[in-house]
Amino acid sequence: MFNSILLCADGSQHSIRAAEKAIELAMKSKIPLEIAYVISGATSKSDVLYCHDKSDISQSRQAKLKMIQEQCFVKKIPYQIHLLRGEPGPTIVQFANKQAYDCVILGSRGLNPFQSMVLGSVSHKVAKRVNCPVLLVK
Amino acid sequence: MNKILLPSDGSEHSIRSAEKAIELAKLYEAQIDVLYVVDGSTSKKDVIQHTDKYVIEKRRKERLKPIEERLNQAGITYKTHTLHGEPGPTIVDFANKGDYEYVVLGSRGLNNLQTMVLGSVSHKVAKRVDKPVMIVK
Repeated sequence: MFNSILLCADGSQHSIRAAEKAIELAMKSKIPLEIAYVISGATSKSDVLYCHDKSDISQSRQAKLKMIQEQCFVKKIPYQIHLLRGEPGPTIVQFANKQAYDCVILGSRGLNPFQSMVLGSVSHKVAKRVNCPVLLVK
Repeated sequence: MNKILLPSDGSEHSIRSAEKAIELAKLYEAQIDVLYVVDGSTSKKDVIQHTDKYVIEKRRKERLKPIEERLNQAGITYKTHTLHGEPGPTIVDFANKGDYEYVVLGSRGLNNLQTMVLGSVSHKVAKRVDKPVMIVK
């Protein structure tokens, strides 16, 4: 059975589709959903450049996860958001391996289109290094 | 009825992925399609080691036996498909043609050398199948 699942989200189209699957799994397993959102150096830089003050920044980050939060709310799934800082790939791997999740759910492509073209990068790295089953959603 | 595709080669990893597929099938009340791909080199080895067709058929069945046992034990409805070809592209083709809720893959199969280099078959499949793919370690 799935007792704990982790959804890795960056607010991209793919991560919203991944969220739909994650919510479906959480509903069927009757468990809460944990969501990891990684703030990388680049995101942090662009956030600071575009937004003037700190509350704007946290608002824009909230907005990225809003679609997912709304879906959880509609489906009545309890959720918890983990804000992590660092390179998306290694940060997710580290976080997921520390807590023993039964499944990590990822969109197959995120916000970094260039890297995706080359390799599928973040999702590929994570799929390779996370110890638990990884669900890739297209 | 929901369907889950389980490409399988009888390896240790594919047994673990079968267990996960069973969990998913229970949650979704789904049926499992087990896909076994006979590639050129397996087929050659089988033919060299065994002279008659009947024995070859039997040996292939034996490879999937641990998986079928688990499916039977869990009381999951399943079907077995045997296809010939390169494992990666054959699985991708089959998965994209069918109407599957999930494709459950072992992260490593029987092809150890390729795995070392890339994670090969599972990576290719994960990239090209348009359904959600679960990779089991």
